[in-house]
Amino acid sequence: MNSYPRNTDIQSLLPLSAAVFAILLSLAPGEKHGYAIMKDVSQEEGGALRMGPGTLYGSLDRLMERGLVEETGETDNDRRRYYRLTEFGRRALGAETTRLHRTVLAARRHGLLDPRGGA
Amino acid sequence: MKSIGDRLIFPTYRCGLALFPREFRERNAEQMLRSVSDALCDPSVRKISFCWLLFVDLIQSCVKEHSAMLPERIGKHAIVVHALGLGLILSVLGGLCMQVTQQLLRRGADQPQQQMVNLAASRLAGGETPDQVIPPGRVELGRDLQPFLIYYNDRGEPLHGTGYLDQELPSPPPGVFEYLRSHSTDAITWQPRHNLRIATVMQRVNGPQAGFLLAGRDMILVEKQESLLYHLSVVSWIIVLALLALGASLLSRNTGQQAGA
Repeated sequence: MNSYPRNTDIQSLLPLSAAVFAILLSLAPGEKHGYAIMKDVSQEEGGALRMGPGTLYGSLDRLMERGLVEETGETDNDRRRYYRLTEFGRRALGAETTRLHRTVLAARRHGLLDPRGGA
Repeated sequence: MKSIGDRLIFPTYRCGLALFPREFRERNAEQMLRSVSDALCDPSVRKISFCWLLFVDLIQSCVKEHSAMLPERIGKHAIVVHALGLGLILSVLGGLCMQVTQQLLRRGADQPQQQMVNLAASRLAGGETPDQVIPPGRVELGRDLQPFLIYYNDRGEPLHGTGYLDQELPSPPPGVFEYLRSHSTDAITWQPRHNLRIATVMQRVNGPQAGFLLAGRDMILVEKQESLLYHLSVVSWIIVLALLALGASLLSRNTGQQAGA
């Protein structure tokens, strides 16, 4: 069991990088394997990031080290590993989303957002 | 059914994984290959674009992972890294000390000649003639080690002197006289023939006895001192590096044994 999250202030992790935020966001609905995460982050609503396997698994390593993500310990028939958010990871994702939301509100106040939702 | 492109991409990427640090590869290679395989089977993925993504990602993530593991690797071999750093610092300091000492020796070789030309120039300026100023005696260059003095007229022809080479008063290259006309004094190493180097100080003389004074001394003694200094420095440097390597090796072994205990 990783003791890192207990001693870490979530605010000290913020802001999350775009890649980390996209990975955490992809895992928010539930556990996923690597390629599913890669597909999610490449979608418009998932961050629209072009992320290769090296970047993805390097990021997952570091996220697991920080206790934001964990392996489920289960594999499918094709031996794909599955990953899920930890409770700490979910709180970090929430904190980053709140931070971004405040930024978006500020941008809206400055008239930078299209009222229909686009930029 | 896989295309030829797919058949090439997968094995090429598998080979490319060798570029990652071993620990990272052992942990993630299988899953990375699984993801690539999934992408190649996905009909919505454009293969050329994916291939480029794989290439760029491979390079970027390799650099990132190696950089991330650098502190850990340095930590594992901290003693060796510190010993190498110390060896480098000692080598640079030793080299600088040797250079300074060598320069001091070389400058020291000019001191008697400097005094000789200064004295002779002031006497010539005081109205004495060159034959009164040049001391008696004869120094055979290449055989005798004493300093010598030669007076040249304004055209650079040797008129009086104590230093002889092959029974004649030698002359430095004409360019030296041209330089002295505008700079008044110069200190050079002059090689009138092979294996004979002279530490030379020259000075322009103005007034009724206009010309040039040259005081020189065979550099063989200084060169022997320089050679001795060089050999002592190299031997000391090798001993210091060997001791450092030995110390680092013993410390690493002890640390490894303590960690293993």
